[in-house]
Amino acid sequence: MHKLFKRFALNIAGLYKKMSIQMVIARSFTTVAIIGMVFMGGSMVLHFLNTSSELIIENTERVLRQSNLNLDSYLRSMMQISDTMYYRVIKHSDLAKDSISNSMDLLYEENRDSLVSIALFNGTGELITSTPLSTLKQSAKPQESSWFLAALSKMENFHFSTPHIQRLFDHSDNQYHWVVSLSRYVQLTYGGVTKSGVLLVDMNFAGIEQVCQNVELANGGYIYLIDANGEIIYHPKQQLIYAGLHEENNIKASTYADGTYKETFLGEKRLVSVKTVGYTGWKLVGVVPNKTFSSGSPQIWFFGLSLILFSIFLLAFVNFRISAYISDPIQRLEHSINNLRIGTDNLQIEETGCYEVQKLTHSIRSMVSTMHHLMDDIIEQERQKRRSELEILQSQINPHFLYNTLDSIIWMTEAGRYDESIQMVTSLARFFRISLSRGKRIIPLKDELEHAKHYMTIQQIRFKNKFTTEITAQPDTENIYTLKLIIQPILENAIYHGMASCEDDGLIRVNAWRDNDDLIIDISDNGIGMRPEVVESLLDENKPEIKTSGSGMGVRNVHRRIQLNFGEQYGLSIFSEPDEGTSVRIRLPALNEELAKQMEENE
Amino acid sequence: MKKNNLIQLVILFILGAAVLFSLLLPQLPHISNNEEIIQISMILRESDNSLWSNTRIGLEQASNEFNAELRFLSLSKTDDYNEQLELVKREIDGGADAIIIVPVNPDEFSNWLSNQKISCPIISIESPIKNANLTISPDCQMLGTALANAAIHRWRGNTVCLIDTSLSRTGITARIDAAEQTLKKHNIPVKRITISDNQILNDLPSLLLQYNSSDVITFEPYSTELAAKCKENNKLDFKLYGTGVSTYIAGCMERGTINAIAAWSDYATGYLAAQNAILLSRNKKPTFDSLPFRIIYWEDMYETENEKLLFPVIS
Repeated sequence: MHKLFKRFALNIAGLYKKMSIQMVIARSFTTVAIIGMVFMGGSMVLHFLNTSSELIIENTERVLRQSNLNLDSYLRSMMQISDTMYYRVIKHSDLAKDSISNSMDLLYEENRDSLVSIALFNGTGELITSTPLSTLKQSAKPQESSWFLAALSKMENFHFSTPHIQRLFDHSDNQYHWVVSLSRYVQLTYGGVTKSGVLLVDMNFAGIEQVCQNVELANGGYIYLIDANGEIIYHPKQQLIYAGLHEENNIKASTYADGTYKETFLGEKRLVSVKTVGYTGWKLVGVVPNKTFSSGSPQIWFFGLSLILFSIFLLAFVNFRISAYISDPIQRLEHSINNLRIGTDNLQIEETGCYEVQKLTHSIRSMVSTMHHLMDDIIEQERQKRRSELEILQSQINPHFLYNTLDSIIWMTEAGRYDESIQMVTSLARFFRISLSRGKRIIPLKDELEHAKHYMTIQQIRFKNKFTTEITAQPDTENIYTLKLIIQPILENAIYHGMASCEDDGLIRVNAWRDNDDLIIDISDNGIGMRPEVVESLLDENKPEIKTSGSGMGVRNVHRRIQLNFGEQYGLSIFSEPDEGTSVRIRLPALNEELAKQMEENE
Repeated sequence: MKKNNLIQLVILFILGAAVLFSLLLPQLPHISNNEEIIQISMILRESDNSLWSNTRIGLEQASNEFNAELRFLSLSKTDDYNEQLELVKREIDGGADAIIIVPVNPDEFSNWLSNQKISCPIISIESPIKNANLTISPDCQMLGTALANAAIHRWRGNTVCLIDTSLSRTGITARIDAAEQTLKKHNIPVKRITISDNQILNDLPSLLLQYNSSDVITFEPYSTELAAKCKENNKLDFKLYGTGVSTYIAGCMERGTINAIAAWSDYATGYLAAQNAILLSRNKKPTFDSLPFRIIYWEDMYETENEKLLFPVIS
């Protein structure tokens, strides 16, 4: 169980990780709200049902109490008739000489709405007197009737029968009445002798019916009356029950003590309240169908369903709107930060949303602004650094080169080789002039080639023409500009490493040509060449640089300068075969004058 | 506005409208929660409706319970088919939602009904009508057989006379046919006497003498009463087996004039007729299955269950 719960929690957490903040807020709020709503709704419905049930029970019991009072009052009045007849008439009469008919008639007339008949029988069932009819039917056998036997068996009590047809007296017009017989044992006086007798008061069943009918209970409930054995005395559908078209749980109800019970009868759940009627042992039973919402009309269902759906959807909608109000500015902020990350220019970050998000946006804007300033500073610093580095690189002209050249000039002058010394001084002067180029980094290709040519002139004199030089430029390269001082270091390398062992047959070629938008300068020699590992190490920053006694600007220096200025795709490529020679290719963008100026200005 | 937002708003609007609609639903004239009052017309075949008083109480009880109004109509002349038909037409034209009829001539009425386009349900009592929606009556064949069996049980060897007052009432005829068949099956001599109600009082003694009969079976309450009256008036000694419940019949049973009756609850007949008429009018399924009856001998008439059937509890 614990594992299952943990797994479930992990799954939920996993789902939440993949969700946007809006979904997390909206779903969480909606779920919590719906759970709360269902919980509250359920509690309220339960509370309502309980309260409703309690009210129904209370109402039913109250109605039963009232009906019981009414019935009790009715039965008491019947008993009073019997008492009056017995204690005021029969007890004071000697039936051998007195007639009680007039008193009986008078009593009957006073209560004729409630009574069908009053009759007095002796202990053997012979009729002494009766009203309003005085003749027994031939078939009548009162002594065999249950009311008669009950009165004689328990002398001290009143006896109430269940409803039955009164069939004692001969009606000329075939009238039959449903009655409830109230019988009691009486002592009759005949000539001073006391004898047994039975006094019968037949109550009109309609009287009981009037007490019980028109009693309305909640949910279409009703009351009915049964005797101690469960025999129905009154029921609103009595005739249907008698006809076998309706059923009642009367036998079961007769076993209930006073109180309220839940029962299911013929598939119907109902509340049954029972109240015992005094004197008789009869029971008043209140039946209330236990209707719930399920028994409501389809309209109530439709209303409930649509209200629930509307509430849930409204809740979800409002939650989505609120979460969108919170999350949209955050998402916009995230989008702005993404744009910032990929370097979008003129990025605008709007300060929208709720207070916290606005503050956050404001802080990020401040941060971005600060970052921009810092980045500008860094770029400026980098630019300064690079410029300084370039300047340092460009200024790395080995003083030995100048010293050796001047030493050669002195030596040639002392030897009287004035023409050669003049040529050397002229080339040196030209060499330095182009090297300086008034501080420019980018110079025309022809100046760069001229710079190489003067350098080679000086070196050829110094090395006593051990090698020759061919410098050419293709016609379409005339107006191209290039980074300055990039050929001379390669030539210096070729002289010191390639031509060192040559015997007047060395040849160094410089050829400039255009390859679409690129400028290619090939410098090749027929020197001793290099082993592949040496070639590989030449441009490798991690390997030590090979020092020469030349101008001091190495091949790697040139390569780095080109890449610093134009990018990784440009720079040097070296091809060499031992004993065959070396070829170095310089690849640069073919800059026109305008671009060259722009680059100079950017610097 | 985004498409999603628009869809959400539309759904919200629809659900809100559904809530409002469900609130207004009970107020709408065609969908009222209170069921419309059903107008039921009960058309008898007699001019005297006292024989149907218990039925009427059952009808009224069901009408009260199921929200219906009842019109109880009798003919000016007993067994006048044309008048009954006119009454039916008048009630249908007058907007009756259901007709309950005790047909004078079930076959004729059935023919007439088959040529009509009547939307209101027709419920027959006593005799079945072919094109009617329902017939509320005890099983006529079973009832005839049960009466015959009662007579067989106490047969004294003479001819059993079956009083046929059915005229064209097929339900009554079915009872007589079943009784006749049962008696014949037991090799008991049977005489079917076709006679009008009015002739029973005067002609029955001579007919019984003529056919040497000491057992008579009647198949309708009115003919039973007349036969009993004839027996008492003429102090005749024949066993009478009848049909139906009335105080007069009960009195005759008590006096031993009627030996046994086939009894059923007229109250239940009325109740079931009205209940099913209302159900059919409201396009619901009828619930009627069969109407139970019981043979009650005069000696047992005050047994509790018999008493309940013979003497309806009517306030």
